Amino acid sequence: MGANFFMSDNIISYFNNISNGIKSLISGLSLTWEHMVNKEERVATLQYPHEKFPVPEKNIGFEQSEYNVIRSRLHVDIDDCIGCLQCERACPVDCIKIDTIKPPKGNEFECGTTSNDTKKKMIVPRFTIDMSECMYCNLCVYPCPEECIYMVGGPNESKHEIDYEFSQYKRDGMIFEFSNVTKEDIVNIGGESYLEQKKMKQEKVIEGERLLGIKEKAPLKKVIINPVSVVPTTATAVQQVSNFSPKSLSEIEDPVIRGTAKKIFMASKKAGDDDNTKIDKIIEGIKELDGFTAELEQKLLSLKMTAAPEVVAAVPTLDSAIIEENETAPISKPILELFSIKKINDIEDPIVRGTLKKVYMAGKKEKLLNQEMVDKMKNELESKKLLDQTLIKFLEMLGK
Amino acid sequence: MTSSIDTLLLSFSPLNLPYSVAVVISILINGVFIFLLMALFATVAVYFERKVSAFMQDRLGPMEAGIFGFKGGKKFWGGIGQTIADAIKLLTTEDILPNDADKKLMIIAPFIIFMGALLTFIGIPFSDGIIISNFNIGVFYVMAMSSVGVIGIILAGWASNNKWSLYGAMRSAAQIISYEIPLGLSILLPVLVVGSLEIGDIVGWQAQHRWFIFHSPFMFIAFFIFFVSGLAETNRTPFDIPEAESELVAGWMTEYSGFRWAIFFLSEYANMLIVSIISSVLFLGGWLSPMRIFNIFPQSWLFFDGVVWGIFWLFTKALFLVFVMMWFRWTFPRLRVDQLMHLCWKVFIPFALANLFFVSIWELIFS
Repeated sequence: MGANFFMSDNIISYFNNISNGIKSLISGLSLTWEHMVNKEERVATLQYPHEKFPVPEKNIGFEQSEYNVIRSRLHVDIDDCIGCLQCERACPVDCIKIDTIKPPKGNEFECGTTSNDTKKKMIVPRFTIDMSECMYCNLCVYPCPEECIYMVGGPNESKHEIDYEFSQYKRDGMIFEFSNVTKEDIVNIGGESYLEQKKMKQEKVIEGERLLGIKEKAPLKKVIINPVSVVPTTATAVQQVSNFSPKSLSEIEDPVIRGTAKKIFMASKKAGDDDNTKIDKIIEGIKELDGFTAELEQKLLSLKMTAAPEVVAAVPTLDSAIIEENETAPISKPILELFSIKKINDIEDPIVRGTLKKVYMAGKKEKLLNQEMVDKMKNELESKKLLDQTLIKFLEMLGK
Repeated sequence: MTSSIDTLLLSFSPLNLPYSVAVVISILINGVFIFLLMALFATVAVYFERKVSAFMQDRLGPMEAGIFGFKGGKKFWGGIGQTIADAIKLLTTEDILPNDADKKLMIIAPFIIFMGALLTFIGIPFSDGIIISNFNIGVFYVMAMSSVGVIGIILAGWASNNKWSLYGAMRSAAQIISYEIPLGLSILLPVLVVGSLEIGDIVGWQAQHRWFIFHSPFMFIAFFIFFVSGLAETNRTPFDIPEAESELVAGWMTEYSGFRWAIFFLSEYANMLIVSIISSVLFLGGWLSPMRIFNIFPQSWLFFDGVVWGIFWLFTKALFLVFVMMWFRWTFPRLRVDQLMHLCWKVFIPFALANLFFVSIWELIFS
């Protein structure tokens, strides 16, 4: 019986079980060990904010070489934009909004040339793309005669690196403003009415917010792609306070006189005259024209009469006071927007970069202008013995 | 071998303190030391557990939290502040007592488990002559005290008034009581050979002859049985059916949160360290250096032995075994309840009994 007992199937399978168990134990342990030791090759984690996953460059579609699959964002090389509005018309969801101002005849404003040597005929004071509305169809890219609007990434990587992180905390953040036209330019080109309209819109917005009971006074902030010179889209952007505006000139019926008057108005405004001198100049200018009447002169003079006391008498309400504060500031002296701190990022040496940024922040608090800032930066670098020729050149470029 | 309590009492004698005060002070000092050791070990071990598991699963584990901006590394070893952050979070979360729970028992339970771990440390050596209290029944004391925790587990499961908790507690009790038997039978072998329950004597025998794991082939099996049973005692995967998060939420810890849960956690990791230290003391030569595996080198060669080196060797061995526990945990899936009982009653206990028999014969023949 004894031999039979030890050789029975039960006993054999019992020991087989145990040996199988030990074998699988060892094979399991060796598997995990292998994974742990070869972590260099095997670890699959990509530490996202520190490392970024390259966007695969894969083309599908009709013509492989041209069809751009990677459309992470629309980008505009605004210096090349001639304001032809082709992209705005092509957009099926109307997420591109462009305003253009054409210089009137006789205005010698230089609009510049594109990189294709096309002479620009107008300026583009507004070029916003609402990426929250964009559906990435790429249709706006093809009509552009200057090839200045394109999707970022993919085959366009040579023009613009892949940038797929543009999430924002507020929906307004998705509105990208590309225009780099300054208020100065708009005034120079004779776009007073454009600024007027903008001001009116802004006032309406503020009034609407007041009626809605929104306490926040800060206007909508827009992400500015090209931060060199900011287009003042908000209350600060609106024209100088003045009771005498080209609007009152629009009441003149005779087109010839109206045009001349406006021209003179612009010229005198450039010269920095006050309202009374402006009116004098206008009267002088239009006297010799055909349609000039005594009535008109009276009208203009009456404007002159009301101009002075009204400024003094104006008792600002709360909202308008804020607008005025913002408005009255620059104009008299040339606006020189301080260059952006992002420019400093171009410097590779981290020590120099850090020093410059510190100086920049300190200077910004003191409201320094470009040239003063650059001088300060130079001094600071010299005291630390970091200054060399290329840096001086770079800083002077910033100063301009 | 001396007890650190005795040493402390002796050092207090010039102060002429009353005996009761001196005893309380020396016990307090030792208790705080044990608690700090447990807390430190839990903090470090949790971090390593997360890292080991991550590497075994081709991940990176915690990489972001640092201590004052020092993360410890960018490529694989980063985030050393993670467990500290977790501990702070644990201590600041709300300590919830369910309405229908048996509140007194529920409050007491974690402390019973914690006391089990704390008391076990009294009999655990850290090096040659460094032990809180040196009993002549050291191994027996450790065995007895490490079983106290099961009372706390059952209390926690019962007091929570939650079916998952109760299931977990019952499973835990069944498991721990079952695995005490192969554990005890395996401990019996070194005791049988040495003829003493005192830990110093057991390591002394190994210093004169060889490490117990190489005593005989049966002793090797005994070490394996002891270690795996110890794994089951600590309720770790693959023996984590009492916690079984995919079946029982968290077993007997389901209703616990905050500080009391942290105490459970602390005890679990302390138990890991206890099992590892006892395994290395009983089978891997304790505080002896690897040069003394077979006691073939002359005494003058053994410059890696001594009290301080002893701490190093003991903790090296223990931490290696802790690593093996983590390795097991992240390799094997959980056993079924019947498999668990099968492994204990049908495999380990017969083998342990056979071991006892064969080691006895071995001793009769070879000594």
